[in-house]
Amino acid sequence: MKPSPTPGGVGDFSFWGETMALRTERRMKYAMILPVLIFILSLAIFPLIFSILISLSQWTPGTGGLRFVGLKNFIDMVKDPRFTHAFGLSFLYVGSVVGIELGLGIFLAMILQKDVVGKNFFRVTYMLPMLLSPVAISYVWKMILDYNRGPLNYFLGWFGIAPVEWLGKGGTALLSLILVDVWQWTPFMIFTILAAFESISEELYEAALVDGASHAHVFFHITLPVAFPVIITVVLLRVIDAFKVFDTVYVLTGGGPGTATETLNFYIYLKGFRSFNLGYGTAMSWVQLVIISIMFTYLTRFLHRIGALR
Amino acid sequence: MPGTYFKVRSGWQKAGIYVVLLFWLVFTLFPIYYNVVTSFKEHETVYAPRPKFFPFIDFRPSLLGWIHLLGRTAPGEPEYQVMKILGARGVYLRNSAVVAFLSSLITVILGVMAGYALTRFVYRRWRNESIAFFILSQRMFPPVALAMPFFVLFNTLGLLDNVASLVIVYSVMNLPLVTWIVKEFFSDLPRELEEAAMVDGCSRWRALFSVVIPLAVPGIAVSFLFSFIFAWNEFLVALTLTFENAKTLPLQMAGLTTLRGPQYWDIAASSLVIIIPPLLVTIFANRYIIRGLSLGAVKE
Repeated sequence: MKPSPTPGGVGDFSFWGETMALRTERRMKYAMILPVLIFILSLAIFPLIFSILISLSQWTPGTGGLRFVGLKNFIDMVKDPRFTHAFGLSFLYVGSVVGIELGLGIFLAMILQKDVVGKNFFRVTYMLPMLLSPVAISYVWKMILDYNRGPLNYFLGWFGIAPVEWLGKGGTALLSLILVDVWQWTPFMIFTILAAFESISEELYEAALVDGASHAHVFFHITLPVAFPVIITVVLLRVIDAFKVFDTVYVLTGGGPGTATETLNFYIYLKGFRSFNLGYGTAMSWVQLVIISIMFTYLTRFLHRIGALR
Repeated sequence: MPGTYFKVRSGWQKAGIYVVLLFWLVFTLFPIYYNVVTSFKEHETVYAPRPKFFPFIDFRPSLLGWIHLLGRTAPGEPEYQVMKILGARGVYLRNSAVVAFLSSLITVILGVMAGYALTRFVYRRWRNESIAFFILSQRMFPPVALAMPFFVLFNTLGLLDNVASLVIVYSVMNLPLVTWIVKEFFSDLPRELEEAAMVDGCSRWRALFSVVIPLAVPGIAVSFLFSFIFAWNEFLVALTLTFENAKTLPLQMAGLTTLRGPQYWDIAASSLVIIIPPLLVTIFANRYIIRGLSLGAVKE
């Protein structure tokens, strides 16, 4: 953001100590930003502050009104095994999903950087899953994962693998959710990392090659270090988004079987909108928000210290 | 542009690369393809002993799902068995379209204002970077954390199950992204053009509408498409704030199975209706997708 040049319009004349043009300029300056700030303040900040209030109270539907209960919701949380379970599960989910997507993303980005025929076709096609509705694609995957008639079990049958009850057992249900996430969001990793790779000038590679460096050496000593800040940024973005997972859980498993796939967001939803315990739900979402923020602050600070982030 | 470094020399390596690329291609496309195929199946073909993949070759396609989608009944089918997938006279489809369109419109207008303000003016007291960060930070909050205060808020205002509530919430949710994209486009525009227009006697407002905005149309269009798609796909907020009148397509879809077992032809057809707009956007605006989704962390 560079300072804007002072307007030197033609019809400048003095008016109460400032030029007419300057006055319209100043008016416009605030007319442009104030509506936006007011909009956000009233619709994002106000609900947020309001939600602190909700988290400290009990909200009963019907009778209406909030009853202040102090820290009761937060104390309940410590004693709630389902909360701890959901919390741990969220971390497990986010960790596996982002890890797998990162690995595949780096791998496929390396391949797409090569001189391959039909590069553009692959690029556009690989991007398709990203913007599709999670609800719709969850249904598509539900058909594919179907125990009796699903293509996945059918294909596995070719290799002599007995049909798997994908969504019916705890472990495989979580695996299915991870699979769908990997299907939808690996492209994001591929293309952000590819963009970072491609920002490296080709001369650098050629020079390294002339100096007799091996491809592996070039990758670990040039490509990865240069792309590292971007990789970290997109990993953080993915972590934020993966914690928000909800739609696929809702459609594919409904948190089940049992509580096997009950991620934190889903549990918050259940508590808040199924049992209408809005206070408890809000309290949990605040704990989630605070813990993730603290984690991020320390992580970025650490990354700054080791010089991985500028 | 392709130099020698990225040339693939050995035949085995080449074969390996294409195997991986084709595998990922099939993995990406198969679910979409299977969904299209399933939308042309009917009871017997869906519940056949093995899954069918090729219409006309291993099963006879049927338009059952699509007939239901249009709210009609197939010949010889009792009326009560058919559910109005898109709602009575397509009301859910209309809700989805109206909500996505209006919320994107509001977001884009506000985003253009913020984007212009942040690139063309200096706010000494609040600092431009702080304003930008303030707008961006809205993206951090999990929607479920916002859904509950919004629920109470709209409950008090009597706006629950009203399209207006969704329009408002989606506008807020999309504002960071749109502001970011528009801001990037505006800061890339040469400032001399506006200044020239202003020297020629244009006011700043005129210059904005007749010089800056027309030049930034691609960016504005992309951000509109982005917010349209996000609002079109959004599920959690719709689930918590609407019940029947303001239901959108994803919400309607999520309720499809509960009535009479999974009717995959109906599900496939309606999921295609939801999938097609974003699919078209991906095909025609794929250049901007990464830049948009990564909030400018990566420039393509």
